[in-house]
Amino acid sequence: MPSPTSIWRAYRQRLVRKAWQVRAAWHGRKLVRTHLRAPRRQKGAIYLFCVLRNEAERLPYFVEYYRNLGVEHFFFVDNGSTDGSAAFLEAQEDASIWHTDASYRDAHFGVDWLNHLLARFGHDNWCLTVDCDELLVYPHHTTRGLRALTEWLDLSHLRALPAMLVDMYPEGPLGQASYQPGQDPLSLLNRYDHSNYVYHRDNQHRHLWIQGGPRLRLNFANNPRLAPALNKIPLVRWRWGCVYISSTHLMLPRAMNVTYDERGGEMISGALLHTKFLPDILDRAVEESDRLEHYESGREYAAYGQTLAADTVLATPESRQYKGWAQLEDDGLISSGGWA
Amino acid sequence: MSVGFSILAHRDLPRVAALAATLSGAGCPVVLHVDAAAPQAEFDRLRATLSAHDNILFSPRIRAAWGEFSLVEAQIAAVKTLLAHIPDLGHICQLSGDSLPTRPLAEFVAFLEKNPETDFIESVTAGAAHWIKGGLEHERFTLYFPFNWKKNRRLFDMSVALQRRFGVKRKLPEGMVAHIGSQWWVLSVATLRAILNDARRAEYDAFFKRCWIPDESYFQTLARQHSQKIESRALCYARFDYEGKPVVLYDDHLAGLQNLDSYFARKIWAGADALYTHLLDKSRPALPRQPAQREAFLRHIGQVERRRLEGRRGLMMQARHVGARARFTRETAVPYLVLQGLDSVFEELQPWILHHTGQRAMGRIYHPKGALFENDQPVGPGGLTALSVVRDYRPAEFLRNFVWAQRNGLPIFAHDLCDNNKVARIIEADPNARILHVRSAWLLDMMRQPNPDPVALRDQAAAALAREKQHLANVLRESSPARALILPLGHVLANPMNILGPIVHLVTHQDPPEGLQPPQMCTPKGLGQFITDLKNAGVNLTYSDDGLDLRSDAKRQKARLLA
Repeated sequence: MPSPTSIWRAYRQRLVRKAWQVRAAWHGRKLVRTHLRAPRRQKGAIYLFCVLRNEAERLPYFVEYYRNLGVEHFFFVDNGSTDGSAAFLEAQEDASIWHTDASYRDAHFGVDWLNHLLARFGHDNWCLTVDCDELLVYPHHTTRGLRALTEWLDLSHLRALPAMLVDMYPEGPLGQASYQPGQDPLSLLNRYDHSNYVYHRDNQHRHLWIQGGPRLRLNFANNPRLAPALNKIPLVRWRWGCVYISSTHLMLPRAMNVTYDERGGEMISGALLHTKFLPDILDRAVEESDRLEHYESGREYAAYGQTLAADTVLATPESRQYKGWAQLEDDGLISSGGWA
Repeated sequence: MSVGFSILAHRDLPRVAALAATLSGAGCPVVLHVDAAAPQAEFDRLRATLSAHDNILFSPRIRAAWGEFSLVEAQIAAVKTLLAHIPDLGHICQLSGDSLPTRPLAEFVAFLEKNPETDFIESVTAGAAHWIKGGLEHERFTLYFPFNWKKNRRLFDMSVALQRRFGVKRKLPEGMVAHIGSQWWVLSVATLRAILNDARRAEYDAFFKRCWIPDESYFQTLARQHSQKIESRALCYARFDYEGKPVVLYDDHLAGLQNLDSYFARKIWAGADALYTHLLDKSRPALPRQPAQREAFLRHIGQVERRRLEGRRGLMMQARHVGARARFTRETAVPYLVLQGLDSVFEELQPWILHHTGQRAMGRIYHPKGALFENDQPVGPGGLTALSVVRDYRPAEFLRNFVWAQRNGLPIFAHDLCDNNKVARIIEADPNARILHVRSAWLLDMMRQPNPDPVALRDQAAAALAREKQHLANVLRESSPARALILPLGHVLANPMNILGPIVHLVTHQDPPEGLQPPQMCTPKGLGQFITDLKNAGVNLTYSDDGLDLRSDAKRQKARLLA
C-alpha cells in the first residue's frame, strides 16, 4: 500500500501539473493565429511543434528534413521574427502558424505556448517538439520513416522517444564556414564528442539529467553544474493533461520521463543533432545575451560570448566525424532498443 | 493437386489484396477471412478490387479476439469455405494478412508437390520445450481464462494467480497430448478433413474454447492425432521477441528475408513498399539461398534483442541508466591497467609503452591540477577535458567514459594514491581493474624534493604510508574483485622487467622479447640513507605490522593478473 506521504506527493505533483496547464492556457491567449491549416481531429498522426525567432537560414532545410522523415503537419509559433521567416512559413502548405510578440521569457521560454498548442491539437497524436536547430535521428531513420517508428512504439506500448542533444561543430574555426539556406547543416557541422557525457538520475522528476559535449568542456568549464542539460523527450504520443515543464527536457506526469532501463537493458532512443554552432552563433551570442530573453537571463549565451570567437576551434583530435546513426549507436549515444 | 491459401486479415486491406492477387495469379486458390471488426466499407472495397479473380473466396466474417477461440473458428470457417469450393487441393497454407512470400511461389508449390503426404506444422509438446516467450505454457490448457490479457491485463494476471493458489487444474480430453506451435501452418487436406470430421470434435472444441490462445494449439494438438507424417517446423518465418511481441519486418530486411529457410515471413510492416514490390514481383528469379545472408539476418535479430535486455556493459546512456536494481552499478566496459608508482621509478614510461606495445598510455588522469593525457593534450579520449573542475564534477563517470572511449584497446593510466581518494575506492572494487603497484615508490618522489623540512617530510611520509597501506589492504582482501601485482621498490629497481614484463604481456598477450630495454630509470642515490633517516625520525616503514603478507604473494598475484 502506498504511504500517506507518497499519496500526498503524487497529489501535489498533480496540482503542479494542473498549474502548468493553467499557465499554458493563460499564455496561449497571446498567440495570434495567422494560418490554421491543420487537419481535423485525428488519431496517431505525426505533428511537429516549434517555437522560433529569426530562423530564415535554418528553416528551409529544417522543414524539408522533417517533411521527408514523415511529419504530416507543422505547428509554428513565430516569436516576432524580422528576417523573413514569417513569409517562408506562410508559403508552406502543411504548416499552421501563430504569431506573438510577447516575451519568450515570460512564457517560460516558449514552453507555455507549446503546451497550449499541444493540448489543443496534440491529443492522441505523435507530437515532435523540436527547435529549428535540432535534427532528429534515430536507429534506421535512413530507411524507416517516423510512421514506421511510431507504429512500432505503439506496438511496444511506449509513449515517448528520448533523444539527447548531440552538439555538432565544424572541423575548422567557427566563423570560417559559410552556410547557405537550404544546405544540409551537417555538411559543415560534422564533428561531435562521443564519450564525455555525464548522467544523473533525478529523484523528483525521475528523468536523467545529461550534461557534456563541447559546451561542458569549453563554455562551462568553470562551473560544470550550470552546463546545459542535454536530455530531451521530443517525440511523445500526446495525451491531454501532459505538459512539458522545462523546454522538452522533462514532462509531467513524471512517469513519462522514465525512458531508460534501470536493470541493464537499453531502450530505444534517438539523438537530436544540434546545429547551434553554425556561423550565426557568434552574432546570436551577442544579441541574445543583451536581450536577456533566454534561460537564466541568457546565461548560456553570455558564456558563449566570453568563450566563442570567429577563430574558436571546437574540434579536437578526439572528435568523431559523423557518419550516420549506426555510428552513434556504436558510440553508445543512441540505441535500437529492441527495434530490429 | 495444388496448394490453397487461407489468409486471416483484419487491417491494411489494400496490402492484403495485393498479396491475395499475387497468390491467385500464380494459380493458387485463396480464401480470405476478414475480421468482422474491419469497417464494412473497406471490406467492400477489397471485394471490388479482387472481383476479377474467380479463385479468391471470402469466408463468413467472424469477430475474432486475440487469444480466444474465435480465431480458431475463423480459421475453420476459412478452411471449410475453401474445401467446399475446391475439393481437390493437396495442401492448405495458413497465412496472415501481413505476411509475404520470401521465395518465388513456384518454388513453394514444387516443394509441396515433392512432399504430398507431409504436414508442416510446428508442434511442440506443451511444457517441455519453453517454446513460449514470456507467458504461460502448459497452464494455457489447465486454467480458466475469463479475462482477455490484451484488454484486462490486471484481471487476467489476478485470475491466473488465484487459480494457481487454489490449484485449479482442468482435465484434458482423454488421449490428448497438448502441443503448441506457430499458427502459420501448412496441412495436407487429408489431415484437415480428418480433424474437421473427427467424431470427438465437439468435445475438443468445447475444451479449446476455454484454453488460452488456442490458435497456437488447436491444429497443433489435433494434427498429432490424425497426421501420417508431421514435420514440426513452420514454413512461415514469424519471430516473437522476449515480450511475445512480433518482430516487425522492414525494407532493410529484404536481403535477409529472401535467404531464409522458410517460404513466407511475417510480420511485414504495411509501409514497407520495397518489400511489397519486390517480394510480390511475379518475374522474380529464383536465386539460390545464401546461408551467409541468412545467418547475418538471424544474428542481427538476436543481437538487437540481447542489447534490449542486457545492454552493453560499462555503458551509461540516455536509455540505460544502471540503477540500484541492477547487479553491476559501478561497471566499466573492458579491463584497464592502473599503474601506481611506476612514474616515480621510470622516466618517459608512456612513450615507451606506446613504442613497444602500440597501446596509448595516459599519465595521471586524476592529477589534482588536471588530467595528464598523452602529450599533455587538453582533450583526451572520447572528448574528456583535462580540466580538473569538470573531471572532479563527476569523477566516477570520468573513469567510466575514459574506459568506454578506449574499449577497443586496453586503457592504461597512471594513478597516484594522493590524487583522489574516491577513485582509489572505485578501482579497488572494479573487477576490470588491473593494478600494477610499486610499493613505497613514493619514497623516490620525497627524496627528490630540494631542501626538505625534516618535520614536514616525516608527516608526509607517514601520510603516504597510511594511504598505501589502506589501499593495499583493500586490494589484497579476498573479496576484492580487482587484480593486482604488488612489487616492492627493491625488486623493481633490481630488475625493471619484473613489472614491465606483465605490462607488455597484458597488452600484447605475448611474453616480452628477450633483451627488451627498459625506459630510463631514475637513479636512487642515497635511498638507503634516506630510509634510515626517515626511520630515525620516527616513521614506521614496515608493512607486515598490518597483516599485509606481501612477500610470498607475488607469484600468485602475477598468475591471477595475467590470467
